[in-house]
Amino acid sequence: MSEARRVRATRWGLVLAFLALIEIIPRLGLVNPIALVPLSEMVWQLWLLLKDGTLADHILRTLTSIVAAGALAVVTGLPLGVALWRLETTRRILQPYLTTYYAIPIFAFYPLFIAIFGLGSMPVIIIAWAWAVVAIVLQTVIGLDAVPPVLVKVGRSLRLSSWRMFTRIYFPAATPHIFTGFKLAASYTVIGVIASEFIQAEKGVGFFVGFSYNNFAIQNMYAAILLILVFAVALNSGLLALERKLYGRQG
Amino acid sequence: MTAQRTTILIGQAAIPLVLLALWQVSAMLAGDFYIATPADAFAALDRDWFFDSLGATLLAAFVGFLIAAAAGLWIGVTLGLTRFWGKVLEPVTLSVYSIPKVTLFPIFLTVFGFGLGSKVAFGMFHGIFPILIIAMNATREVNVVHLKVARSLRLSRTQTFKQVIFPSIYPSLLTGLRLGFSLTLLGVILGEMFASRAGFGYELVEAITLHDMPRMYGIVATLVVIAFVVNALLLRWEQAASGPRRAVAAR
Amino acid sequence: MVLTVEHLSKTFGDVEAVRDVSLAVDEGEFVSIVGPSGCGKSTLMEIVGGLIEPTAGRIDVSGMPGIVFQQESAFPWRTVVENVAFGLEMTGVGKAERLTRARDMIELVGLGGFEDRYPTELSGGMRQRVAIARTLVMEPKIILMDEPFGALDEQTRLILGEELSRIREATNATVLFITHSFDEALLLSDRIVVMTARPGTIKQVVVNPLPRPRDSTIVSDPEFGRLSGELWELLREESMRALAGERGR
Repeated sequence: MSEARRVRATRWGLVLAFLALIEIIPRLGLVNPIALVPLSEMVWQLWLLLKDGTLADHILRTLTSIVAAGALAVVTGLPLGVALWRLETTRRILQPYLTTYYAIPIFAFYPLFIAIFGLGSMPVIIIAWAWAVVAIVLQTVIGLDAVPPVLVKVGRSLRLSSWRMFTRIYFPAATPHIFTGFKLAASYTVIGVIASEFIQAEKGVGFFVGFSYNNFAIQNMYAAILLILVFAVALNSGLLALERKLYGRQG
Repeated sequence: MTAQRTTILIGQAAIPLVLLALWQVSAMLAGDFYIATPADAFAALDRDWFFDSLGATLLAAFVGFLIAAAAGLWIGVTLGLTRFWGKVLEPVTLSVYSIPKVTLFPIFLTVFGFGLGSKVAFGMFHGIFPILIIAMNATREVNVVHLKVARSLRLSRTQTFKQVIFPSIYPSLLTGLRLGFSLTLLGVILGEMFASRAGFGYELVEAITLHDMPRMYGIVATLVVIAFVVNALLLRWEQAASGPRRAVAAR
Repeated sequence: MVLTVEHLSKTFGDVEAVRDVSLAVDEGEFVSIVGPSGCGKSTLMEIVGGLIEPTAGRIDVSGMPGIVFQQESAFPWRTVVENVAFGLEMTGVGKAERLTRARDMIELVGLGGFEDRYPTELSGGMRQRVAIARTLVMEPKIILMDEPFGALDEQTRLILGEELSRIREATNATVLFITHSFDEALLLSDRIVVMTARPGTIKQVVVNPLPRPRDSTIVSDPEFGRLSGELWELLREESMRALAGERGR
């Protein structure tokens, strides 16, 4: 067996073993039954919740917030990134603040937005947007900076207009980095939405987890956690695969 | 050139003042039902609860961070040195890094109980990944010839770690520790916001219920200052460690 | 004998790197190994240095061999003197003594005045002198050098070769030296071991009759030219075979 296959087989073996443990440990009564439910019960409960429509509203709310915040982050992040790349002085002024941005516990601002906008999608979307947008801005600047000078010279030698220089040379050359920004922003948006809902909200899958915990509905809680984790892992793996497919050969 | 440098320095110094002014103006425009003025927010911090909360949050973050640093370094270096297990586990750690971990907080509550234990454990879990992943990647990039020198001198494992691996990964490791601290602090605050009786996160959620705007704004400003200062100090340390003399170490 | 190698073989997976090599090096001797690229020279050296285990055969080496690698191996986080003193530090030599010995050795390899510089502040040739000093200061019974000047430019190579010749006269060190340059081998060694293409075996051992001490002017000696031609003749066939092997894959 080749090494790559052995690596993959071992990895899946470990993941399956971990899942099996979640199934077996509660069945053997090794932990308090109100602390952990077997995996099969989580799946079954999730199926029931999906079938009877209990989760439908929450899923709809969460997805809407994710899409809204993500779209907003792209629409605002790209132009901001391009502007920052062009405005050398502004960028150097902001540099130390941008590198510190992700050190700030942004979720602490969530109550402030609840106070202003009330409990609803608005504060959730704002927090998720704020968490995601800077990743796009930073990656856009990095990508445009990393355009090989020789490509720029090619454009100059063809006397391209500045618009064409941007759309035909700079932007396409920077897309691998910008895509990385989108990928980060996607996972930050999901985290932003679900974490905010979890802290305090009136709807959403994140809210459902916290609500179930507070009402001792442990099976519902695990079902919703399972849904969130499967969704997040699938989204990240999907974007990673897409990135490899799109840019893998550009090295 | 010098004129530009002066502009940049003045601009950087002005940013906090600009933010403060923006805050003041928004508070005046929106009214104190929605936004507390900086002066009111500062005045609200002059109470016993403030220092209790500061202590509770920082204690949990600090202990969680120490455990995350030690465990992350150990696991990361081990995985970096054993190529096979590194390959097996790398995608798994990256996946866990990018999921909304906060939804798993209820599990920490059931295992570690309500209070310091669960906050420390969750903060550790929230902050360990960048440390682990960066330590693993940096260890993989330790110059093979340096490791051969160590073996040719028959150095013990401890000596090899202390004299060759640690100095090689040190600059990257500091980056990991900086990111790890921010995430640990965020993890602790998220945990406190969801379920706790102490700390800034708890006070924030309390303040929403009581609609205590000055307290809320005071806490958020304090957290931003703490995060910024700690991050700036760690960043300075990091830049000193990867100065020009060490340029070769990065290869 | 400082080093005795008997019937040594090494295979990696299904690649046979070295086959049945026997070799003996006497005290104070300078032996070079030349061979086509990929002939297992470096494998042989790493086995002798104890970095990898042989598949078959026996090695008897006195003491812990010192190794100088082709790639740069000076630690960028240590100054020149700290680099040179590294091995002594690890074997528990006291600070005062190891610093004195390191400084003497730095002087010997011609780096006097650069003790407190960092490797990044030095040229490639100077960094390799640091690596040589770090090995010599341990006073090993035998020094293994794996194309130590391979990564340097031609002039630096010649100068360092000459320096090494001088250092060797001064220390009377025993050296096993790997190179693919005949000039280097003829300038430095008492005996030259010619290896075959993979799997590496010993094709012939040539005793170098050129009188010592030698310096780089020796390259214009007609005897040097004759020996160089003889070595090339021996190696040409092997190099062709190695090249054909590369193409065949």
